[in-house]
Order: sequence, then structure tokens, then C-alpha cells
Amino acid sequence: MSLVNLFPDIAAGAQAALSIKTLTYSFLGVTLGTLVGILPGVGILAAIAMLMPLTFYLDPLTGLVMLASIYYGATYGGSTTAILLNLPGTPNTAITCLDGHPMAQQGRAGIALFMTTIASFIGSIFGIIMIASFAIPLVNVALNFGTQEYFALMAFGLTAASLITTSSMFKGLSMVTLGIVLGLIGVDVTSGVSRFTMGVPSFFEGLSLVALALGIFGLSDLYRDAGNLKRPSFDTQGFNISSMTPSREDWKRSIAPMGRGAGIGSFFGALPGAGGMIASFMSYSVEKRVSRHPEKFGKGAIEGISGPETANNSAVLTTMIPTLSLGVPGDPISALMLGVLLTHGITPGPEVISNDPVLFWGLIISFLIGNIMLLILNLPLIGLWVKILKVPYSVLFPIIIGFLCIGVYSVNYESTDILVLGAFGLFGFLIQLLKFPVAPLILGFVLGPMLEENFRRSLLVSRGDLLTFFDRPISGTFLVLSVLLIFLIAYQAYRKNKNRVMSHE
Amino acid sequence: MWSKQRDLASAGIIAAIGLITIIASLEYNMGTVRNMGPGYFPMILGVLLMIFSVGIVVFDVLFKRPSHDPEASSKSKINWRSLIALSAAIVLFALTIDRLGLAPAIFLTVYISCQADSKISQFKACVLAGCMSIFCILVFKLGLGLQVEVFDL
Repeated sequence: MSLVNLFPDIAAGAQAALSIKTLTYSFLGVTLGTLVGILPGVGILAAIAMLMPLTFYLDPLTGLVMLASIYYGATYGGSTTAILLNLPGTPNTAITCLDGHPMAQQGRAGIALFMTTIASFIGSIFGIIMIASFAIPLVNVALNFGTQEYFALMAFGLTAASLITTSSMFKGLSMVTLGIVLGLIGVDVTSGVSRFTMGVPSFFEGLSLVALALGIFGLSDLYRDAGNLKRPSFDTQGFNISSMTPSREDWKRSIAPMGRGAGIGSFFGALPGAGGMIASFMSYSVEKRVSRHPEKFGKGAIEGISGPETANNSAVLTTMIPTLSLGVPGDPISALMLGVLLTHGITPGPEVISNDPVLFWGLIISFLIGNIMLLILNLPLIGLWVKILKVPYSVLFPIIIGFLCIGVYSVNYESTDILVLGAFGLFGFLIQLLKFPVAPLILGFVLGPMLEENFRRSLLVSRGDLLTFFDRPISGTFLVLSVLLIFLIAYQAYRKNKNRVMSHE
Repeated sequence: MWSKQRDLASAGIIAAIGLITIIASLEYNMGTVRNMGPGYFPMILGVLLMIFSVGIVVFDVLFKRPSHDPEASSKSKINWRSLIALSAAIVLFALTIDRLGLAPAIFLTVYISCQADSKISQFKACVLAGCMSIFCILVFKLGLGLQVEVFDL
């Protein structure tokens, strides 16, 4: 299927995406996203989770458009705090702190922010081209997928996700497994039995994704910061457009990093289990190694922003490839988006692209729209956003708590969901104190039921033969890869230990 | 040292969760491999958790060299005041939103959350709670059509 054949579908998607309705919600999403993303301590996952309930009232396409716009807004907000306050709003923007904040200290904050936006735009465009090129061929491959392949792919994605995000392999694996267990709470579709519900009626349909996500990501941070946060001082100089335009030299130095970033981002985005964060880290190390002046990094080198931000954004888009065409999300953000799709009754997979091309392409285009929206609208509004940062945290956090409660309640009008929010807030706080990664939990939660379903059905069809997963080449490969990955990381840990022992002798 | 204690505690927690999962899944029908009942998969997961907890002990407690990263091995202080205040605020919301309505729930929740900050003035807390209630009524009830009673006393 060549690109040309896709034109009518892409055009239809574009038409849907460019309607007044979607544009309005996109604008709303970008603005709200930035607002939430700029709050220190509110990461992008919390931002998306917080605003997610708003999308439930909308039809699927508009809902997803809004979600994508919220993503862009929140990332931008996160970059803003990273550059101005050295506080990353999200893991993806942690890299931006390294050179962004020094740039701000040198008075080049506006340029840093501008570059961030441009880099993300280019990353998105590249990502979209990748999606357009690879989604369809991938779908064709996926049409041969049976339950075994889906299981193996999900298992691989979950394994990779839990291993890459943390230095402790088994902590990551534990979190992902716990996520799956939590995902199984509720009525088991196959047998009709309700599991682990402890007699709570609202648990019959499973735990609320929003309550879980907001609790683990947002509330846990609040528990950590509410009494403690020391506010760094920052004087807000006037931001006008001219002070934001990068110089010719800045552009020259950024072009190559952006190109490399786009490539790196697309690669890591498409890998199940990797996502924007890894992509931006990788891009930073590549740029540092490739640069003629590596010592400039960490002191305000613009390559340190342009490369990673491009990588991050193209990764976020290419992550949509496995999410939408196979139904296997690559990172927590796409897991949340998958959750949204499921809530609307859409199961992503090969059928979505052929049955509902308007949705698929509309969504892809909406990412582009969200980014453009950001470019046009938010750049001039920076002064406004920065003013928000001046609100004392002691005022902000009770407001956030209020919003969290309402947000969670608004999904199902169940007060037990609020208790879930609180419980997972505490749990998330505790677990992070113990240095567990929380992102794999969400992935496990969203994929858990499907993982089990595919496992069961495979065994049903094969009449209990476990080898069925290995008889089939694709599923076998992924399962072997998962095991290999575990052994690889385990071996690395063992080697490190051996070196330590030897150096003490 | 702290990081070893921490990882040992982590392993313990995971093992406990694994055990609970196994026990909980025994309540349900296991079925056969060919025809898995509702208890089968959770049981597998519980066992995996216990295996992973052993992994944590081996790899993190025994193998890992003491981290040079100060942030990774430092013990953060727990702010009990904020823990209690925020938890109370959330539980309060859950209890009051259905019985008392949006405005009282928000007011109480925000007011109690403010207590997490030991330096906040009670007057400021009340003002903030009040403003937030009004704001939420306007935005959520009137603006977004949230199906809640404002005052349900």
C-alpha cells in the first residue's frame, strides 16, 4: 500500500481534524496542558491523567485530539519549568534542565524556550512521516498475528519497559507484575467471576484508571512536596518576541542535532518499552560525543536542547505505531491514551486503521495541529505562564488536591474512587521512597487483562500446549528476546559486582 | 546502610504482596492449563512476585556496590504532618461529596490540605478554601455540567 493510496484516508482524517470543534478543543487542551504542566511537581503523566476525564465526554476523535494537545501543552509547561526553575516537569524534560537552565541564567531563556518548541515541531513532523510510512506495513504483518503473537509482544513490551526505566531490574519487574495484578481486579470476562473486589461494587468494572494514575503519579509527588518544597527564587524579566528569536549561529548549531534527534527518537519510539525519555537521554549523549566542544555541554549549549527535544517528540509519535496498529503501548503516556481508547469502546489493532481510517489519520494529524497550536499561541503567552510560577506553592498544592478529587470523582461519581486515589497516592509515595519505578505499574495495569486473555486463548486453542508460543516464529522470537533482555541486564549487574569484588582485593 | 535496608524492605514488601496474591487467588477456580480458571493467572503472577523479591535480595542487596549517587542512597525525611493532612483531606472529600455536596466537600478538603504546611495562617486557609469552592462551583457545576449537588445538607 503506497502513500498515494492513503491519500483519500489521510484527507478524510485531516478534514475531521481541522473542524472548528477539534481546533477549539485542541486550543483548550494546549492551554490547559501548559497550565498544568507548568505547575512545579505536576509531571506530564499527572497532567494528562488530570485532564483525561474531560475527554471522556467527547467523541473519540475529539477526545484524542484534546489529549494529544494536552500532551504538547504539558510538555511545553514542563520544559518551561525545566528551563526557568531547573525543575523538570516530567522525566522527558529532565534533560532540558541540563543546558536549558544555564541558558536561562545567561539571559537566553526565551531562546531556549523557542528552540524547544521548534525542535518539538520538527520532531513531530518526522514522527508523522514515520507513522505514515510504517503503520500500514506493520498492520499487514499484524494481520497474521494470533493470540500467541499478541501475548509475546505484550510480554516483551512490558519486560522492556520495566527494565529500561530503572537501575534495579527486579524492582521494575515487580512493579509491572503488580500492575497486571491490579488490572485483573474486577469481573473476569471469560469466567464471569469477579476477582479481588472485596465486595466493593465500584470495583466490579476494575479499578479506575484515572484514580490509579493520578494517585501514583500526581498525588504521590504532592505527598512528597507539600510540606517540603523550597521555592527557588526567580526574577521574571520581560519576555518579548524579539528576545526569543535564536541567532543564526544558534540555528546552525541546532540543525544537525535536530536531524539526529529525529532519527534517534523514531527508533526508540517504535520500540515497545522505550519512549520519549530514553530517546532524549540517548540524543543528549550522542550530541555530546559528536560535538566539537563537548565541554560546553551543561553550560548552555543549545545542541543540548535541540537534539533531545526533537528526539522526545518524534519518539512520542512513533510510539503511536505499536499502540495504534498493534494495541501494545510503548510507554505510560500511550498506555493512558490506550486506556482512553478502550474507554470509548475502541480496541486498537489492525482493524482500527482499516475500519476507522478517519480516527487513525485524524489522530495523527491532530498531533501536528496540537504542535502548531502550541507554536502560534503559547509562545507569546510565556509571560503569562511565568507569572503563574510566582504563586506560592503553599497556595497551589491545596488547589491541586481539590482538582484531583473532583477530577477523579467526575469520571464515575463514585466516592470509592477517591479512596483509591488516596490509597495509591500513599502507595506511590512509599514505593518511590524505596526507589521503585512507578511507570511500569501503569503499563501493567492497562495491558494486564489483555495479556491474560491472550494467554488463556492461546492455551485453549493449543489444548494446553505451552510450546505453542515457541512453535510460531514471531511469538517465539519476542519471548526469547524478553528472556535474553533479562539475562543481559542481570549479567551486567553481575559483572559490576565482580569488578567491585576484584578491585577490593 | 540505608540503601541496603531500603532494598531489603522493598524485597519484603514485594514478597508479602506476592503471598497475598497467591492466597487470594486460591479462592478461585484454578481450572486446567488448557482451560484456565480465574485463579490461574493471578497465581502465576503471585509466584512471579515472590521470585522477583528474591531477585531484589540477590541483585540489589548482595550484588550492588554502594552507590556513588548521593541522591540514590540518601534517606529522605518523611513529613508526617503533610502525610496526615493530605490523607485526611482526601478521605474527607470521599465522605462528604455524596452526603454534603460539592461546596462543603471542596471547602473542607482544601482547608485541611492547607494544614500540611505548618506555617499557613488559618485565615488564609479559610479564604483559599472559600475561593476554591466558589471557583469549582462556577467551573465544574455551571461550566462543565458536573452532576453534583452544591449543598446537599
